[in-house]
Amino acid sequence: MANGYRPEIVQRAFVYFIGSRLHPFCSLTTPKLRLIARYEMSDDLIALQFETNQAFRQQISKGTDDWQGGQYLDLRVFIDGVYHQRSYSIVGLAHQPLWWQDDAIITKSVKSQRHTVTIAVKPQGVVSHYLTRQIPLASVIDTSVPLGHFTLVQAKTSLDNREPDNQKLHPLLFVAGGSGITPMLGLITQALANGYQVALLHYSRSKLPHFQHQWQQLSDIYPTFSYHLIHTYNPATYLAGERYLSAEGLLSLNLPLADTQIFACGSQALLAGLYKAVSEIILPQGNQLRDNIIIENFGNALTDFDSGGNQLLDNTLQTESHTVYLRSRQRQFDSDTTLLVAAENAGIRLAHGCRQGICQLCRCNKVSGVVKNIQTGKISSDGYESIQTCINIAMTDVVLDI
Amino acid sequence: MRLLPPIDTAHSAVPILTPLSDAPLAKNDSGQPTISTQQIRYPTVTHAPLTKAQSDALAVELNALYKGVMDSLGSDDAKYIQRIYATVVYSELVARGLLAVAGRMSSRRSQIGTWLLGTSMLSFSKILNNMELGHNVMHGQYDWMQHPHLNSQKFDWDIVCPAPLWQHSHNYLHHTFTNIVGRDHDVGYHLIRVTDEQPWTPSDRHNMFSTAVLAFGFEWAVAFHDIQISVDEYADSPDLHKIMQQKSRALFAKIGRQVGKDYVALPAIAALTLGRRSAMSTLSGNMTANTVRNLWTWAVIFCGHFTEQAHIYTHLDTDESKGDWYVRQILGSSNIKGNKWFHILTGNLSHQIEHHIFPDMPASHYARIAPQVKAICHKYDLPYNTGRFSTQLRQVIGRIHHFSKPSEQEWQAYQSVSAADTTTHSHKSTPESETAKGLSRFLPPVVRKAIAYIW
Repeated sequence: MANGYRPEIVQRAFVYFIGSRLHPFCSLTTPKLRLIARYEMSDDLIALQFETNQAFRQQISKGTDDWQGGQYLDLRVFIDGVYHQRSYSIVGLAHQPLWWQDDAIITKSVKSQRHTVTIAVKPQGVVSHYLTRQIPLASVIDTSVPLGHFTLVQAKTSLDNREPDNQKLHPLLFVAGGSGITPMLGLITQALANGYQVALLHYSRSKLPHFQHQWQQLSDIYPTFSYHLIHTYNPATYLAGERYLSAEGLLSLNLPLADTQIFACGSQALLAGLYKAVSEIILPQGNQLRDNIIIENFGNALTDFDSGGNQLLDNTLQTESHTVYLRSRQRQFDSDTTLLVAAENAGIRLAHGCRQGICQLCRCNKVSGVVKNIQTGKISSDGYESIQTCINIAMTDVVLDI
Repeated sequence: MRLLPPIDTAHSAVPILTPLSDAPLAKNDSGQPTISTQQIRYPTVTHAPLTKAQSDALAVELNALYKGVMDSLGSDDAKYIQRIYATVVYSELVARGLLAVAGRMSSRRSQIGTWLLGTSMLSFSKILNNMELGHNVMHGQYDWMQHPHLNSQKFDWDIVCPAPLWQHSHNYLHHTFTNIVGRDHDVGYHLIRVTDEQPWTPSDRHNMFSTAVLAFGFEWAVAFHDIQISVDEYADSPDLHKIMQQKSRALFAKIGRQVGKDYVALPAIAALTLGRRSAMSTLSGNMTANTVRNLWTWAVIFCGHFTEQAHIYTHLDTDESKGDWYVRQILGSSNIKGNKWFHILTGNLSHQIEHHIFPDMPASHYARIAPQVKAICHKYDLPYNTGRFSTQLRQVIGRIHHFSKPSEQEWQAYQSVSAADTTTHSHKSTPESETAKGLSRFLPPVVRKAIAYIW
């Protein structure tokens, strides 16, 4: 079906091709990054600093000034003949000096620093290993513009819905696990600059001295900022004597929890712990503390992501088996889990990116059959519509237009 | 395998003129391995030629072959298709430059020389874009790469048919129901009678001429083909109008883009920058290149399914297994022999058999697996239809010529019916042609239909 088809007068493929032949990095249409430095922050977190090109800067300045704290980039990395797309949180804000710029270079690099962006990557899959260990300096990769709603704007809209005429700023609590700390620096910096009261809880196995330095600097400037770095193997750092997140720990922070917006980013275990802890805290007026939570739920926080082959989804989602037919490829397979994983189990490669319903790369048209979205629980209609294979399971036999 | 006679030699050298019945194979199929030894012209199949056990074993072997290739895909294949794309772009740019410059040449000889060179290069570029790049990418053969542009969801080729329409009529209908009369609309394209399963009508006398028209305007036929099919396919659907409206709008938008680019914008740019003669050389070059591409793609595609020994199926077996499906694809397709560049220019559709059993395998692998496919075919006594381009094309034209004439019974039936002065069993239904008024009566019915659905 020609749903929404419009012929491109000048084909994007052509523009992209000619553009990259004229200059691999400069482009008027495609945002690109060039790797300029790599910093080991701990043994399993590596920061990558990239220079941005003109298209990147132009496209973000169209919307707001630079990016919001907490946003991420979709990087497209070409490894062994396959383009992989992954999301990585941006560390810090556009004008924010990061730890390596503290000393001598800070004055000199004011200009160039405006044109860089930094991400932190935990090597745990094909792409993150390539980015942290193999990709040579000065390599150019394609990127999206900064994306995502794990931002202060989002927090404001979500709590203000409850009390629309409330002008005072809510306190903010940031809960991070492991590499889930990466979006927090930008968010917290932006929040403090806007006058919020901020608390940070970071649970991790290893120390991150660079980040610690950054937090210390911030709390020197802003007295409203408090941070707690909890190391799994160091009982002295535990909050309220607890190794993991607990209700007592949250209460010991002395925050007005009912009005506090909670930002969380980390492994599924951490998030589960957070939800368990908040369920033990009773708020007045029948409000639920869990409604105050905003989660960043993409790739780099999931430990078993893309190396572990999605055991997480596989184990929890065994359903009745149905036949899926790819009508353009004349191939069929049985599916008792998500369509994407089932196809891969049958040796069929389908387009995908994040595998969690975020990046939309797996989106395709369903001709017939009923599918269920495992994130929203929504059951689809029986007819022709666009679906994502990574988060849908077959409820009946399904025909896809692939 | 070696003991078997080579199937490659021309079957048509000594045609065996058997009286054409509805189903010559029907009497002696059911597992009898007689297909390859018995040379019936224009064979029709009514039952699965192999037993279930045999076709299942065949499927196991072919699946293993498929898996072996698909597991081996990697950066070489990615480089290959990107190199093909680069070749398409560079040859097109150079060709368009040459065509524009041709009008500025001083001597007549250099004008013609430059124009010829430019036109050939543009034809080459368009053929490559249509076949090795467009056809194969739009089949999803390179979707595993997840390339941002060279994938079946995004790529659109340089012909008037929009990608999604072609993917419906070709990827889905043609490749699923290959060679089944009434299901695969590529059997004759609603225009030409290619089997005696299709009833003869008086207008079939002009099929040689219709074929020539089809060949010259092949991209247009491909473009409107899906409109014609979809009107029937969705006839009972409540969304018929919505679906057809989307398709018609897509089609006319694409036609606008293609015609606008080749016949308006580029000649106009040449006229403004280099003068009127450059505009003329650009316009004529574009026209010629499009026509050359049409003729070439027509020839290659018709050789794929309309050679003398291409088997036509009368109906879809209700419990057709994957193995039976493989058999149908093998029997219905025919290969063309040639060298490496010939294969690339045909988009490797010269390996039509391999393409039809593995439509989503990157086509550059077909040549390598062809010997194995052939060996498997011999093992199961299935004919592996291949031959030189000239042989296959002669057979195609022979077939169209043959079926443009009625058989004895059909002629008699026609005589008796025409006495009653009706043509009820026309397979090219043109009932609304009488109602058309004004200029639109010069348009083919399918075009009128498409225009009617725009609103």
